Amino acid sequence: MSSNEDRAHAAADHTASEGGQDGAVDSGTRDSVMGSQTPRLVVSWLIVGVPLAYGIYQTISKTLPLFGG
Amino acid sequence: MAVLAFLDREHTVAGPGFSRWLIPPAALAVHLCIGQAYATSVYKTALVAHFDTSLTAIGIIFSIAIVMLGVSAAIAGTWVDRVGPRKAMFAAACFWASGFLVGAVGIGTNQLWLVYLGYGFIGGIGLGIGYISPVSTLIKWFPDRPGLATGMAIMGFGGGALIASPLSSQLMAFYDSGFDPSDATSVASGDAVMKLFLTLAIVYFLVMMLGVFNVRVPAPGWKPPGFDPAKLTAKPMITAANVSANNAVKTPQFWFLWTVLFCNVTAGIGILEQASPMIQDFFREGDGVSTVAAAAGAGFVGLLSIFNMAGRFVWSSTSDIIGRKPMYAIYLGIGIVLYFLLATFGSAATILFVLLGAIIISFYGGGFATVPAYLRDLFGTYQVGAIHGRLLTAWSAAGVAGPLIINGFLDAQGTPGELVAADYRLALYTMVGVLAVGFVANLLIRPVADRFHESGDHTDAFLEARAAESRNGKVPAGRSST
Repeated sequence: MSSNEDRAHAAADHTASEGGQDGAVDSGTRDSVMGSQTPRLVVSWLIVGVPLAYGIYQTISKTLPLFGG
Repeated sequence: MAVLAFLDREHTVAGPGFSRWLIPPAALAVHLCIGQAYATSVYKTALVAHFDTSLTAIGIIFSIAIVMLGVSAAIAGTWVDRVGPRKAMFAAACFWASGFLVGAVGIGTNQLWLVYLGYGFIGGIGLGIGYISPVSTLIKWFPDRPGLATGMAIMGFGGGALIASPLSSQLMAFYDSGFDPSDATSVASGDAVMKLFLTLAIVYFLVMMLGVFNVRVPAPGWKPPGFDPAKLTAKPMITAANVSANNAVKTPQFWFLWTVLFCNVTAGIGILEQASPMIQDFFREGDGVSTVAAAAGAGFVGLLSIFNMAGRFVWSSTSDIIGRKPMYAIYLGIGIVLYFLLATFGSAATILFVLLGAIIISFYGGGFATVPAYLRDLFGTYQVGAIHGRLLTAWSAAGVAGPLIINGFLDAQGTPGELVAADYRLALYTMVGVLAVGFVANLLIRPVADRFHESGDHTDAFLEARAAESRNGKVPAGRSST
């Protein structure tokens, strides 16, 4: 985990211990937490999305004989 | 153990600002891996040749795995709710990868019982725990769109086979130069299947660990911006109360829903099981030759897989808008009409047959994906994972009943390879009856009686266990995140 994320989570820990409501978080803190998560979001979706796209492509290729392809 | 400290409850609670959109890929990482279970046919023939045994003996591997899925989901459900998704996903990854490793040893040493034990028994436990592990977490993160969230994850189970099937063929060709995946008569060596199992063990473990590290549960009191729980629970079929897993199985609602799932799955499996020979038989002409080639039959199976996967996402998301009960009324009610049309007019044109089959299978997939949200609506979030686990025994039962019904009727009608459309009618009309039973069961579902509801402080099994840990001094109070 990056030091940025550590800092973000430390801020999150502090607020969570005070109630944990999403709406209670300072918007600047939330923006910085969300911003630090963007690369992680992209990588996570790619790791599951790319194989899934490969599987769908391979399967659609297999269905072509059904339509005379 | 210190090295496994990241699995503790205290590290599983998200801090504010954590993006809930990290949870669906975490869930998908698990479901895409365990969805491999539906791709076992790729190496079935190779195992028959390697062990010099029958198809039935090899088919038992898959049967054990599916039975263990139901059993472990039912037994471990309460544990999964209590320890949280991270530890559960880690356990699932360990079981699933170990299953492949033990299976590989079985293939390498020519001992089929080890493949039963490995892939079937140990891997099957991984299937059950993995299947339910992200469900209650998704429901908590997406209280506004639970159908969409669980649809995304359970779509992964359907998608897993789409990935594993071509990937396994290509890997076996890589490990065995004499194997040609494009030639239907070519069979991979046992050594290639063993190496495939070893590769899958490593790859699946790593991908599932992505889920382990990304998954979090929301902090107590968290809700998505703009979400008003009162609006949701104002709807008549959505409860604000919570029911424990032990109490849920005492309610008629649980058993009506069990029947709904059982009927929906039984009917769908009936078609999935027979898809390739079925389309060829429906278009067999007087000379005994089918106008649908074997390659086109395989294409039909692929098309059904796509619709099975897509239906999980599309229909489950739709249920967020129209409600769970109307959605199942569509799966089962329109399903009745579609099965009837398939049995009566399916042989009129290939495109009609394909279209009917595709919609039917999309409803089959949708039925799986919508059920966790239906459970949430009826029983609340307290132990929804455990209740889901117990409900999945309906899947195991349908996995036995569906093929028994269709094969029983077809065996009585004639010899495989000589059957025609008319030979399928009785079996398909029976499925119409099965769906009708499910339709009635769905109509009978009403909100759960107050006497089954938990007291107000039982709302989240995971957070409750975490709070108990804090009270016992095992966790610093208030600490959360990472």
